[in-house]
Amino acid sequence: MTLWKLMVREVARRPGRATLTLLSIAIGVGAYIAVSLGIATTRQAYEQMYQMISGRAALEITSKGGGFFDQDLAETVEQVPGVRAAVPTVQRPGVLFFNHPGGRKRFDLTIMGIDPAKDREARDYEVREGEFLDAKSGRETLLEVSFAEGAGIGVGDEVTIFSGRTNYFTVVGLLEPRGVAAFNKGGIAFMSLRTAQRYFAHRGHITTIDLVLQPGADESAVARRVQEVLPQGLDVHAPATRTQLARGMTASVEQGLSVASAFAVALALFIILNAFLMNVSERRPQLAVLRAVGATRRQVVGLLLGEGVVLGTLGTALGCLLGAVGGIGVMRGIARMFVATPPPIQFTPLPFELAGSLGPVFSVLAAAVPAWLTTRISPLEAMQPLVGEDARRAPRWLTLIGGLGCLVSGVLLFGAMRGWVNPQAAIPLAVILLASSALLIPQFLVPLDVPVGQLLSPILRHEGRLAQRQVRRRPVRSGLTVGVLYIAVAVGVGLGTTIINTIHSVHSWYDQTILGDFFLRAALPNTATGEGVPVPLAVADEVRSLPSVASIDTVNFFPAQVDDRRVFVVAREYNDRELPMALYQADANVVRRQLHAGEVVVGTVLANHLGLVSGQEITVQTEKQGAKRLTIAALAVDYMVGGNIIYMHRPLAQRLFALEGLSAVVVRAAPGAFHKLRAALAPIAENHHLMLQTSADLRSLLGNYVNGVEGSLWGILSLGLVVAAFGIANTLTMNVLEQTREIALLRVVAMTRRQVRRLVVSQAAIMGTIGLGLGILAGLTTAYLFSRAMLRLLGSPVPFILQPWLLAGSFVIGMVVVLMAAYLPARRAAKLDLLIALQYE
Amino acid sequence: MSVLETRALTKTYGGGELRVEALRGVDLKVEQGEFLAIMGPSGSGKSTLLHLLGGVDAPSSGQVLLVGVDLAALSDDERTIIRRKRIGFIFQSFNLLPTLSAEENVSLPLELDGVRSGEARRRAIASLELVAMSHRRTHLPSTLSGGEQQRVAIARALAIEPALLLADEPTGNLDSANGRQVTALLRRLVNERQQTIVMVTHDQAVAAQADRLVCLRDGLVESDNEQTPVLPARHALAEEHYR
Repeated sequence: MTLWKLMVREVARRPGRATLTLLSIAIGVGAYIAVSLGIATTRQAYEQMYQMISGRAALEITSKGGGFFDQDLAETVEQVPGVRAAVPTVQRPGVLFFNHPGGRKRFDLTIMGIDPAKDREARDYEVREGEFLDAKSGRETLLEVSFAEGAGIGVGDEVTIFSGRTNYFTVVGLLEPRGVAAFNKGGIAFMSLRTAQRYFAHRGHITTIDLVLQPGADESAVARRVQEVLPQGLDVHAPATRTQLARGMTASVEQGLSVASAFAVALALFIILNAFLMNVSERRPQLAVLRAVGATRRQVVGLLLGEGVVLGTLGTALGCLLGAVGGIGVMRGIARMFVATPPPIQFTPLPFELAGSLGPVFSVLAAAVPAWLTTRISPLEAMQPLVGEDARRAPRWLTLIGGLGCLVSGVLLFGAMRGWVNPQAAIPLAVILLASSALLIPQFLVPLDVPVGQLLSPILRHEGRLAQRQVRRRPVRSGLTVGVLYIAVAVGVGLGTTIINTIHSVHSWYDQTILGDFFLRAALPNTATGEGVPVPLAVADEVRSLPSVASIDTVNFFPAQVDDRRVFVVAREYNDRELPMALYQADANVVRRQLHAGEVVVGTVLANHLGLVSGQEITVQTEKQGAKRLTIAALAVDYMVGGNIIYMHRPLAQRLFALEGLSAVVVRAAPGAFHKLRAALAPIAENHHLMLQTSADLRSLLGNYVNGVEGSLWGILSLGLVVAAFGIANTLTMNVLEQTREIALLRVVAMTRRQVRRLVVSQAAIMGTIGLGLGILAGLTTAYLFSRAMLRLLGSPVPFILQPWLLAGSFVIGMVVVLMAAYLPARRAAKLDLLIALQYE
Repeated sequence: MSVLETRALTKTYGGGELRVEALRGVDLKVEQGEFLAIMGPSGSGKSTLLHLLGGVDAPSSGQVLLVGVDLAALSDDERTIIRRKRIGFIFQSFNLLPTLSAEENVSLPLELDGVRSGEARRRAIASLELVAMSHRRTHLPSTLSGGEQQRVAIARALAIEPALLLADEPTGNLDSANGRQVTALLRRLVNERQQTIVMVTHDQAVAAQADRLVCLRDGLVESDNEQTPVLPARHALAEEHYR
């Protein structure tokens, strides 16, 4: 009981250090939970969206090109053994317009044409208000209640729905919400199958058949049997495969977030280790007394580990709260990147369970080494006054662990970059390499402080020399404090350089691909499925006839299948001098000729996944010619749909796929005719319910993505620096405590208070310079390694470009933070009561 | 059997040119209820001897027998347990744990030995009553005077009912009045409870309270004489206070 009280009170006695330790654990745990929740919610949002659409269907039949097929096929498929019900639907992307008192509103959504009687075999419907559809339903639609309420639409309201054609509908009912439609950027408009076919498709044609199986039926066996009866161009698969495109898009974001959370955990462990080492150092006399009055080594170790458990548990609890809040922030950031409405965060138990168990474990692990050090405390120390210790070397075990860690992780990281080791291991290996290299700092602190001391001597003068001695006096403490700053800056600079270079690459891609002054389209492509609302062909003719037009290009985006992978095809004329794609190590003129000759350009991510290079063949599933082998002319970097993209000449796409309408019309204005052309295009857009966007409008959308990423970057950098500042403040406070008598003697001899403050601040400046300098170097190395690993890891090459402003800014801001952290300890040192301090032992 | 006995006890530090022979063969016997004072100039080895007697350090050669058990032959954990059960320490700088109250400081060795909280508390209070500090048992050391802190430290040493009390300059950090009180307390423990005490001191007046005076010089026993404890007249008031 008394030992327990001793433990709790000792923790409470140093609130600053306890807060630092708690905060470190909380940040590590919180970062892990926030990232896990954000990623889980994103994935779940996509899956739930499709679950809501697919309902109880275990399989679905779609056209490989995403087009229409004969409705009668449903009756044929329903006869296949194992199939209980084959439910036909028409699913089309659309845009809903509603005349609200505040103005006309537009919403992207999915149009779902259903057989009101048969559809209940696949999906459950619960009408909250109004009535359900029936076989006689005409221009009537049902909306999900959450979407309707958000749009201000009620039962009886009239809405306009556009998907290639425009029609008016009456809302006759509101359905209870089922899962999340947010990543669909809106909701679902249900109508009768006949109505959907009449106004948005073709009579007798559908886009999907959902298959509900007999209880106990073997899904793969049924799928094989169904495939046998399907005509060419159709495919049976699980509904979840439609989320592949979405997963491809979020993969790079998830990787980045995982890196950030891994480094947050590493930083936390370092800070806890240093805090506990300081605890042991400061309480050495007290622990010696415990040994003197009869505590065994095991009891003393247990005391320290007990503190680790208590702080770890409290920190984990706080971290869970931070993680829950942080998860919402992460979710909003991801949603902003993909121009979607953030869905409510899904609080899955697994991240909390993992963090809840690992948090205290990590804290105890970090406390283990300091606890082991207490076994070397002799009760003799209680019998003798504490004498200031001379400079000691860093313990060999620390250098050994650091060296081994660097060697092993460095070799494996090299292997991951070369593909000998699973590239997914690159992130944890990078974390281990960084943490291991930080453990080597105490060993090299003494030689490193010499050039730093010389560099700073004109500013720090005599106080700097004294400060240098104090830093050397405790190489482990000083080294680990420098290590915290080192890790924080290395992560910030490494991640920052990579992200900034990625953003530059995105901007470069944009400049090469988005070539045009105006863009006419019905809606932005669905970021998950790649499907777009079709633009009538007549729009292109109308635009072509305008006098201010210099050139016009028509574009089709549509989904296709490559092996088991859903990809996105971009079909254009490619007649302009500039090729609208970011080619990877290829000549545009040569590639243009190859495109016109029937070859294709493939996104680097897709090529990396399939293990293909230029000159090889890719097999694309087509509607009209089945599986078609096409030669790869070149690879291109692409940031749409996660790089799973194929560029194709329009005539080739026309031969292979049943293209309907257009996805977009790209218009270039004649010189000096920009505004005139805009005025001429506006009524065309209005008449056809299209969006008219300029290049600047699209760039601002890109800016959302970039801003979200940059915001996260500064957030990570700031957090790391704040935590490092806590670490430095704690170290300096400990140093001041230990130097109390010495400082008092210096004051008695001749040092003014101002000089004492300079002494303490000089220690911070020396540690800060070493930590920031090493951190920047390590950060650049990390960024370089990431740029090499990115192509293999994500299939997307990221150039390595030095960012001088980032480096300079990190150093300057870092130094300001370090010096601010020294303020309180310096003030404390300057205010020491000489008489008391002289008696201090 | 003597409570404490040393046989040819030596302790050497360092090697080569830095070799220091702190003790060069000390033979000593302390009987039950004896109050032994050890004196000597700086560097005579008296603190080293005290450390070896308490099992805090191990001798280079020789034996330290505490109630017949050779401390030198025990492991660190075994010495720790013997220390916890049989030896009470009184330090010059009191060495109370600052975040524990007087009562908690006194009960600490008992709880370390596995005594249940309730029983440990009872014994702690009894110990504090012995040193007239029970009325301040909930106070933290920072709120106690030097003399009060030393009395709490003595209570901590007594709580385990030790075979041997080792005191290292117990009055070194006290003013003369408090020093006299502490010394009188130690004397009373010997007189009334037959407590065996070995004390290292620089102070002749404190040493005069002991039954026997051992003087060390250069790591050897220079003299070992019994003496009649001297209680100055003004100490009588202090004695009266503690009765």
